[in-house]
Amino acid sequence: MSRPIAVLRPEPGNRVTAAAIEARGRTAIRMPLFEVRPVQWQPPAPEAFDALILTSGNALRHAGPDLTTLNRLPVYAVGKATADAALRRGFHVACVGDADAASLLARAEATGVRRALHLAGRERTVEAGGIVARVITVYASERRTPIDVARFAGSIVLVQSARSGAWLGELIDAQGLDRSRIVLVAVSDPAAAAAGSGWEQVMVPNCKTSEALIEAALALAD
Amino acid sequence: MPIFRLGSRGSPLALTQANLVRDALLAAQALAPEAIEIVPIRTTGDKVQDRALAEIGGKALWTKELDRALLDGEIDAAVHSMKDVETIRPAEITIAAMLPRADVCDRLVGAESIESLRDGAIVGTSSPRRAAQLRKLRPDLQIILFRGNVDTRLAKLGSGEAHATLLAAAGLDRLGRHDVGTPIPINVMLPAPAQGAVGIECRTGDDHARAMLARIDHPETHACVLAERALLAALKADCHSPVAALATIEGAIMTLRAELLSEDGSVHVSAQEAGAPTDPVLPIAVARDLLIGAPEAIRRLFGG
Repeated sequence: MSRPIAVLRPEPGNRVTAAAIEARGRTAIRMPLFEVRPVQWQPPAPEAFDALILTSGNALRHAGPDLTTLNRLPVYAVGKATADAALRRGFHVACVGDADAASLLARAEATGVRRALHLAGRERTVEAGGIVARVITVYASERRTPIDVARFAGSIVLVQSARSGAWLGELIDAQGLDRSRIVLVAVSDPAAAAAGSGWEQVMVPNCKTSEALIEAALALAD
Repeated sequence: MPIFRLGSRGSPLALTQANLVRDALLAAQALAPEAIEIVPIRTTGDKVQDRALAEIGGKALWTKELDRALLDGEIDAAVHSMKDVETIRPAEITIAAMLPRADVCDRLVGAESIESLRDGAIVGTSSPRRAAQLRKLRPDLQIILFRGNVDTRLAKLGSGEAHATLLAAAGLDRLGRHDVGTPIPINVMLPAPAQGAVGIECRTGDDHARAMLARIDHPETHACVLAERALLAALKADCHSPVAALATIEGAIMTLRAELLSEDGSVHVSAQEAGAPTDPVLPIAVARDLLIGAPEAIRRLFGG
């Protein structure tokens, strides 16, 4: 029998990854270790900016109705899902980046953006500086303690961030579970390192996409 | 031989749909041709034509008489346009099957496109969703009440009561009216929850009927429509609430998208999430996203 695959990423992505695993006939354990929550914010006057930088759909999901006051700003988005969510909220999307925030900012600068507003998570990679005139926190991801940590025993665990790797390690040790019976598939070396050592196996696939992580986990599960 | 009685509303479209169910049961060899009878049942919704559905008691008008006939044993199953079935159903009645979904979009009749309607044109509809979506796109349009079956509405249009109307493509196609109207893409007008789906209900305790109807169930349609209905439940929406929703399944992942509007279409909010087709939390997540993003003019229309 194949081993269950635990998914740690927060919702709404958790249910998508879990569904993809289930669609392949395996058992997914839905174990989000973080919960994304809105943070109260005051929308600034849009006149002060010439672009809106969005690196996650969570900014659109949690910014609330005041977001529409910024509709006149062209959106520079990381990822098609974020861009689509911006369109649904009535924005014009000027640019969709398919890599990271840094390359999106470079493209924005090349197209003449000089005073961008970034609506961000509290745990963020982009800070004010350069073309980013201001960063406002509109959501935060908080640690969450699952009630059934024991379900990790014997599983393959998808570790998709360093924060979740670190929190997973703490939870496993607090529960007294045997690390040597748990396999990690991590998105990056820092994510794997954050979880610490002693695991049955740690694998970091070359390709960083969600699909590649799932493929690696499926291969290890059987 | 016991006769299986399929209850249906009496409109031409309803009877066409009941015949589709009959044909599906025959094709699945669930029953012999002589063992099925279609029983037309006149509902209050059919009798009262001069007021909006929302005004005279909502969707229950379509289902109340069929429910009573089902629970009294006059019929063994009831065929419904799922769009007309209330979100909360009595425990004694079960949605046992759905036919494969037809075209989910709306068709505009009387004009080539929404943009081509003349300034201030009159559009007939009784749907709060369609009215709000039209006003969102064209605040100048005048919306008037248009009820009745497909032929009644087309006749009203023909007599000049309105310049245009919107009808569900599924109903027109099922009546063989493939040439009537212009399809409005779903990214322009997202359809009503359950639009294009025909469902069959039976008594919850009737194992025989449930087993027979299970043979004609289209699981993908069933999952999508249940998700759209669960969204309505999570929003505590009623038939006054302008709400659009559509679930689709691709590669075993369900995507549920939805839109809420103010009655005059001046504000709207939309959301979309994905997950497993049977994930009960997915519709709740979409409802939460919608309500987080919704301005007060929309939020006051929801929540019961």
